[in-house]
Amino acid sequence: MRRARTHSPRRRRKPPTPGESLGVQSTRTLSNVSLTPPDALGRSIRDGFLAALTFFPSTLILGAIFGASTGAAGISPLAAIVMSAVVWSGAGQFAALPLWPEGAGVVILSALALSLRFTLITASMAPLLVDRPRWLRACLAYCVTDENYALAVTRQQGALEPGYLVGSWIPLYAAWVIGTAGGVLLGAQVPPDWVAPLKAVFPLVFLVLTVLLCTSIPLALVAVLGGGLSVLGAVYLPPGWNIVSAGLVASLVGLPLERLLRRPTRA
Amino acid sequence: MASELLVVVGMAVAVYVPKALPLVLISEGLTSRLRRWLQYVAPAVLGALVAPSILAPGGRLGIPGWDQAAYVVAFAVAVWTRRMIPSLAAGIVAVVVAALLPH
Repeated sequence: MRRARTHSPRRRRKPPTPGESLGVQSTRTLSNVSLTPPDALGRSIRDGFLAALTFFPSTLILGAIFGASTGAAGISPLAAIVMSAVVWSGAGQFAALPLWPEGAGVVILSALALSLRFTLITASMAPLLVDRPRWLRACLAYCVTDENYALAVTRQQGALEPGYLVGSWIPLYAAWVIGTAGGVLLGAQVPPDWVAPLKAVFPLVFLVLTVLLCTSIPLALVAVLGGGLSVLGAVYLPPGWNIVSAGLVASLVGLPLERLLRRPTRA
Repeated sequence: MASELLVVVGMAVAVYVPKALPLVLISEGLTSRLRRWLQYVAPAVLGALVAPSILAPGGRLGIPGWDQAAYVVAFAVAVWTRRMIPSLAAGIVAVVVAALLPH
């Protein structure tokens, strides 16, 4: 079967550079030696950047809609733009709009609830990044969101390049902050006919990425189960809990399912 | 104004900490069982992210319409070609066609 391929041709894993094992970067003459060869790093940043451009228009528009809605919610223009620049969470920020008058506690708790899914997401990334320095992992954590996680995890199985995460973060971050600022300052002058197709980009890309990720029957069944549970959760659970609970339950079913399917059927 | 910015900082911490904890704390010694579980997190989370935005936008179960047909097109092309760009292109064309059809 053909391997799932997303946007760039598969590349061989790079061999470890001498700098990695010898720590030569302490030598003065090699002070700008990085952990990955510059060209490989540049390439993964560029690949990530280009892949995430898919989301640029829709993120920009959503940012503008968010920015334009903040005034009515009682958020000052400065706070709205700072929020997009430091919080950088579409779901958490939209949820804050109706809750803003209710005070800091409610707003912060709702942002926390909506961010819990990232604990699952980054936990699944952690084994692929354990050999990176801790400060880098702490920085990469800020760059992770649904979109670039989905792109990165379907790109290369069993590997995760920090450069790719950073590269794909740039257009997502820029679009959200620029969109918010535009929405705050100008209002969202988006033709209503454009909003629906642009909003469809997110589910479309995620649907395709999910299909590409499912290279075995247990993986596909887990994805379907996660989707089904999440729809139920979206209807019956408080906002923010459906994704993390469905993701947790469905992922836990994976291993037993794998064992069940591998068991030889009796003739 | 200052208190408003404090709420923003509180939100930023609330969003960042759940992302950072696993990446900062998990260093070594993951059992193979744990690793194998974590492999199932990606499809579970992606499925959980995408399904409600198609089937229950805004937290309410939607009635399937032409918009949902566009997702069927993208899904079919993705299963068939296993490639990103053709699937996405087919899906976007289908969304545009669906938007032009009478509702």
